[in-house]
Amino acid sequence: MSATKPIIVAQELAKAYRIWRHPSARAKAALLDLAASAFPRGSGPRAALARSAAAGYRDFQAVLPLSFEVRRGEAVGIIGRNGSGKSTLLQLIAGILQPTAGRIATHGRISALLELGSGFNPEFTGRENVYLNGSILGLASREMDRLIDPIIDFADIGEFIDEPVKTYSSGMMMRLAFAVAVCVQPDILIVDEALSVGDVFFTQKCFNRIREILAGGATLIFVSHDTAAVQNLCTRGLLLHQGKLLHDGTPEECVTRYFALVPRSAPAAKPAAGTHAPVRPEARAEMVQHDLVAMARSRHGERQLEIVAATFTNPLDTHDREVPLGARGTIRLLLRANQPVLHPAAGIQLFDRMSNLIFSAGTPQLNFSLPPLAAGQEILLDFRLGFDVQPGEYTLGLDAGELGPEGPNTGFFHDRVTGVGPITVTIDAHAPFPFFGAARLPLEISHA
Amino acid sequence: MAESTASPSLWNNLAIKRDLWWQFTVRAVEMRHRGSYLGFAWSVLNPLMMAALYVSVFGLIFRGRFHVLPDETGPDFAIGVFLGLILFHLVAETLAIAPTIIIGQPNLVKKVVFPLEMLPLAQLSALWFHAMISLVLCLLAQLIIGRGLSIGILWLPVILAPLLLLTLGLGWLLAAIGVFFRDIGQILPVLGQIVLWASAVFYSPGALPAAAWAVLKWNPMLHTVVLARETALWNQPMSPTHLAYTWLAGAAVFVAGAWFFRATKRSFAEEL
Repeated sequence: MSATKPIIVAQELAKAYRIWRHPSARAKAALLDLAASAFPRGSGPRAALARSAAAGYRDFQAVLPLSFEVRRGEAVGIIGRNGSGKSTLLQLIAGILQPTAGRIATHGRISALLELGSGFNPEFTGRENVYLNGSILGLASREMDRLIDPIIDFADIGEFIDEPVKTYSSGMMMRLAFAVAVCVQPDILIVDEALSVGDVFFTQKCFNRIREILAGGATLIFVSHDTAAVQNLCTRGLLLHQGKLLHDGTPEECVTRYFALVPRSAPAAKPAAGTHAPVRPEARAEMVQHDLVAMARSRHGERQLEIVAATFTNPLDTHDREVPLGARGTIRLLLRANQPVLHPAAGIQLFDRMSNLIFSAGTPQLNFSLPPLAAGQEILLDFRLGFDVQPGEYTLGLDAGELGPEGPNTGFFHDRVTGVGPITVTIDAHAPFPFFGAARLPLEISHA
Repeated sequence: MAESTASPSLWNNLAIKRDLWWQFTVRAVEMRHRGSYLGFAWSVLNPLMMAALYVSVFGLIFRGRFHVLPDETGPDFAIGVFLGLILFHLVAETLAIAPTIIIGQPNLVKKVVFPLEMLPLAQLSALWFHAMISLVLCLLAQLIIGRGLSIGILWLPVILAPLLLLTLGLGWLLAAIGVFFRDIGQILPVLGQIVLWASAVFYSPGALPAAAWAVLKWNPMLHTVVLARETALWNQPMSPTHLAYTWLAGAAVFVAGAWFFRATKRSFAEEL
């Protein structure tokens, strides 16, 4: 099989669920459809009977027609809010659900971790269930004889392997399920949220194994609400929203767009007058002159609260995007409310060369509350960031949004800009490195 | 449409199916006694106690007779009833468990791609396994306290094979229907009772009024019970017509059940 041949092909793939108004409606519809088929096509009674049959249900479109191809070795992250059709799409790929329209074709062995311990029989031992799962995945028992030891080794659940699965903790169940899924050398590995159960060591082990499998040419389909994991693991992203494929591109792009999806239930802010001073015209002019937003790589959001301009100032008070390791740079944001915003919020992110998020914080984390903004109001914010990170090139992400009603860690973005920069963190080549690693953490030493 | 080319060889595919069938059958057999102290011994002890019960109740207390053999004894009647009940239980238990076979395993339907036809097959295999143990005990009873085994016993596989087809077909049919109509679980126990009284377990068809016979003669189960008892156990002349009819009915139910299961299994995942 050549490296570029698609291993998953979806063409106009769609899935609708039929929701019956009443259990008896199904039987009635079946009888009515049968009666309708007795009349010639296009005749009046036939149409009338079919109409009354259709009155008993409505179709819910879980996945709207979408097309994509996945090639060998790709790691595709599917992200989307709850109810966006992610699970339905996975079930379609895994062949568990039949599409209502379009087609899906897959090539090779599919190992699907759709839910914790699915396919495990609680009454039987872990070992028995491993063989059972193996047969479900298409491996005869003599092949499983060869794989059983690596699987038990990977799951690392000790003596429990010979205890009934019903005595397992959810973490142990996940370990075993994952061990089977990754040890059977799948061509396509489908992982749905399953990694969230294990402890950090097992999660790291899983990620490493998934990387090994990917390196071996397998394909990964990964669904998680953990957007950092998606960006870390995947080479490509699919963003689903209300059954539609909103975006097919890099994971970073998908994650950014995902966060820009304002929930439909977003509370409409009441108009409120701000109490802060208006932005001085000369400050505004300087910002527009040195604006970094215009050259950003990507931008999303409805801009109810807009990042009009952003500047970077180094410790020498110039706009050169260079800063010595350990020094502070100032990121200034000019925000404008295009409609009333009750609980404005803003933040910055620092990404390294490989797009790993190094640090992110904003007004909620700094415990800095912004006044409500009326439509048209502007506000200036200075974030002073200490660049205690290893020397190299970085990019900034900027966001402006609103705090959510459900707690301190909720909210949504109105404007999100990424790929701002680059900003170079420099170091005197002759000075000793102050630390090694991604960033400096507080560290002290003394004689014990 | 969905297509998948996992493309293991046909032979490998069959080996996997056989593995699955074996694992699920062993499980279904074990499930009955898992957790009990005596475990598998119950598979033998249970029918043994049943046999003892029937021999004492029908052989010693009620003193019923089939009036087929001129010299019929109490043990003859008891062993005859026992044999009939073994066959009846096969059908009754199929009716009882089949509707929940698929809906009881939502994970295998919704979370993995699984050859679902294997589930009724494995459950039925377990039922037949237990029935075979009972049958061996029944034949031992015939050997020890009855009139011994006759040459007619050789007919037994030919007489029971249609029942195997019938129960398999019923298993698939009811398992599939159970997914769509949960109500079916409510009707079947009554149907089980009807089968009991309509299958000549406690009487010989010769004792039936003509009107009842006109209806009951269409019940293939009745012929299987009578053929097993009178031909296999007592070496009475065999009716080829009745045997042919049981084969026809068994094959028809088998084909219908397999067809219905195949036709509907693609939509199971949506219904659960």
